[in-house]
Amino acid sequence: MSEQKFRTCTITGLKVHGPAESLIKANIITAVIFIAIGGIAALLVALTRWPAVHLLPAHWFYRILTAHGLDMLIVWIIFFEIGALYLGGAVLLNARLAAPRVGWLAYILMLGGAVLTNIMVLSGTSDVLFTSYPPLMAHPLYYLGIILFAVGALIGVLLFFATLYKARKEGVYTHASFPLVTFGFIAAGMIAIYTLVHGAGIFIPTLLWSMGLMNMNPSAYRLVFWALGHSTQQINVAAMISVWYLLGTLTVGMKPINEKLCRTAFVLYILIISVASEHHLLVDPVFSNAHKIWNTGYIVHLAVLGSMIHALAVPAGIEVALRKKGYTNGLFEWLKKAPWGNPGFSAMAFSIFIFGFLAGISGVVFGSEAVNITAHNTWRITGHFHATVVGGTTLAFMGVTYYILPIVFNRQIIAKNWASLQPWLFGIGLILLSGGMMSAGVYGVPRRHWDIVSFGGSPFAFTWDPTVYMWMTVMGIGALTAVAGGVLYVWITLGTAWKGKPVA
Amino acid sequence: MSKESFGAPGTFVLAMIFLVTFIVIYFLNYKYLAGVWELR
Amino acid sequence: MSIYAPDKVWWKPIDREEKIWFVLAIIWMLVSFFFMPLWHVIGKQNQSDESYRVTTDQYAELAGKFRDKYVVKDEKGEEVTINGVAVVHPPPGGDAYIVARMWSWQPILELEKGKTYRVHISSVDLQHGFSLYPLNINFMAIPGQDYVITMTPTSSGEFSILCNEYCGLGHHTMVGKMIVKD
Repeated sequence: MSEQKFRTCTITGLKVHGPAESLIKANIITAVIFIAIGGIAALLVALTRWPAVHLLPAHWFYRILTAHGLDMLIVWIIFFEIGALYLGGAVLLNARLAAPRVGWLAYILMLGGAVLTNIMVLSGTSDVLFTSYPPLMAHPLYYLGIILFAVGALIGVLLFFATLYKARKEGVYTHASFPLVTFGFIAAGMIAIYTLVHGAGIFIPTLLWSMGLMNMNPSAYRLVFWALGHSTQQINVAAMISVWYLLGTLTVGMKPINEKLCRTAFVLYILIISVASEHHLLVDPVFSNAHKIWNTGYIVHLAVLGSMIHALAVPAGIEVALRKKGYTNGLFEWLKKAPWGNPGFSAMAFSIFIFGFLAGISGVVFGSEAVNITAHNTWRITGHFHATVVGGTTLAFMGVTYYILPIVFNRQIIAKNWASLQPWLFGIGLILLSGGMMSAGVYGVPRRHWDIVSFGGSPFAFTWDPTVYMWMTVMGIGALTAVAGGVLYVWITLGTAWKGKPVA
Repeated sequence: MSKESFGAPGTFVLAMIFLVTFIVIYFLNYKYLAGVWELR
Repeated sequence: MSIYAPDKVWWKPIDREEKIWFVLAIIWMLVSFFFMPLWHVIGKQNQSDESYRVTTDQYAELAGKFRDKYVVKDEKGEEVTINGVAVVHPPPGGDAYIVARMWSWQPILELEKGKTYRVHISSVDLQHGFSLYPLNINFMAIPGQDYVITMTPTSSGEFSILCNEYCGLGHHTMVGKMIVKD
């Protein structure tokens, strides 16, 4: 092993492996480019659903919505996660990436798959939305693109595990246990493996079906698809919470209060969270009530217990760290005097708040067996998952980017003041967006719908409770605010990577 | 670490607020559900 | 610190506050779980346990027979329609069929308040989402599955059925109607 090209980070003292650094850079930059594409799509979708604007024609709305879902839920977030796994595997352990060439193979497969799928969507041959429920059929190349992406991501995750193995075997990492952040990434990686295997498990048959080679049962598709579609969100949860612990350490020097409890919570995720996918099928035929209660109740509540543990452990660790800095007056001086101008801290704080209060509560409630009757496929669901995956995961990833740029890219953040503002804009925007969606959804406003005002001229068109329009305006204002935060993020990240001053 | 006190009273209060919010929203949703037609 | 190696022994006792929180969380998770089966006993709004595998042709045939038998006729013997969709009055206590297809809900059911019906929901083409406004009752309409929901309307008036599962470029035009008489 001759490629021992290491650089010592001047901020953390970590040894950064050159080939690992290049791969992390490539994955993170690609992720940011896709959040920019997905963000433009987000703006177009939001401005169409906002009745006061109603921007796009119907077919373009569904097309752009398909692209938005894919580029955000799959491409942006998994590219970023693969970058984060290399960071947690190689950089945090001062180790080398096991096989950089395999990393580049994974990268090329993922990029090729993402580009192919985007081309198929924009060509107008695959207006199937993110879920692509059969018998709705896309062009075979659309499915092929997703398969390539999933295979690439799977290789990336395996490379992460190979890196951990090598770090041990070569005697680079000699402590008995991995750091908590790496442990969390291991949880995310394990969830990613069975998730991506399900992805291949559903999209390979679907590809064959689209080529006329086999039949497809719509109910069976839904079951297996959500083992990909929802479980990817569980990768996000595990990765996001690892990033909270990472940001807690980097921003205020937090220490986990009790490693036993934190690690147990991650183990609960690995063991249990996958069956949570079935809450997408609560108002489906086929499954019995007993099965629905078991899968969405008993089992999922154990995973929620994991989140409840983190819900106390992360902020408590932050409070202890800030109290050590001398903010000991009363109950909340530490909170008031926290480094709110540090984008890493504010992003983490907003992420914790939005994930807990908006996303977590709504998730458990909408996933309750009977309550789901009044939530399924309404805008309540859209509001819920924008709080989880955007307000929670994406915002946490944005926060950690402000540390990845100096540590891995070796660049100083350009426009520091704008960077301080960015998580605030994005966080407040998301609270409005997600709150507006969930509130309008209470009246039954559907998700994925081009025209709730005149229903495309349907003779059965009806008028909504007027409150709905107020909530839709709240959603629209929230969307614009969040997009402004997103623009700042893309500009600062790409600008820093391109032209930021070197750290040392 | 274990010998020291917990040292995060503020967070404990915030967590209690969270739990109460959770419980209230959970049961409000059942109340909302109880307002729709009878379904079996 | 979370990014550095933990202490050699990290399996340590849990603080009192964390223990309290852990116990409260477990209790709440148990309550919120057991409320689900409990709701089957105390609640009147529950998931249906009944569905049958059918082909789309079989379902269309069943629904067609139902429509022809119970379609509402005026004094001249002509079928009553609203915007070209037949109004059908199923017998209380009996079966009623709703067909979802791109992009309509047929027929228009005319139900009686306080009476119980076995409402069948299915699709004869793509997946659709049955969503009743303003009640906000939502069920999936999936081709190949005859989903039987036993409903008792507890309010009267005119209700709209919209589709909340994307079903092609005319998805947003897919609106239907349901009438409940006192």
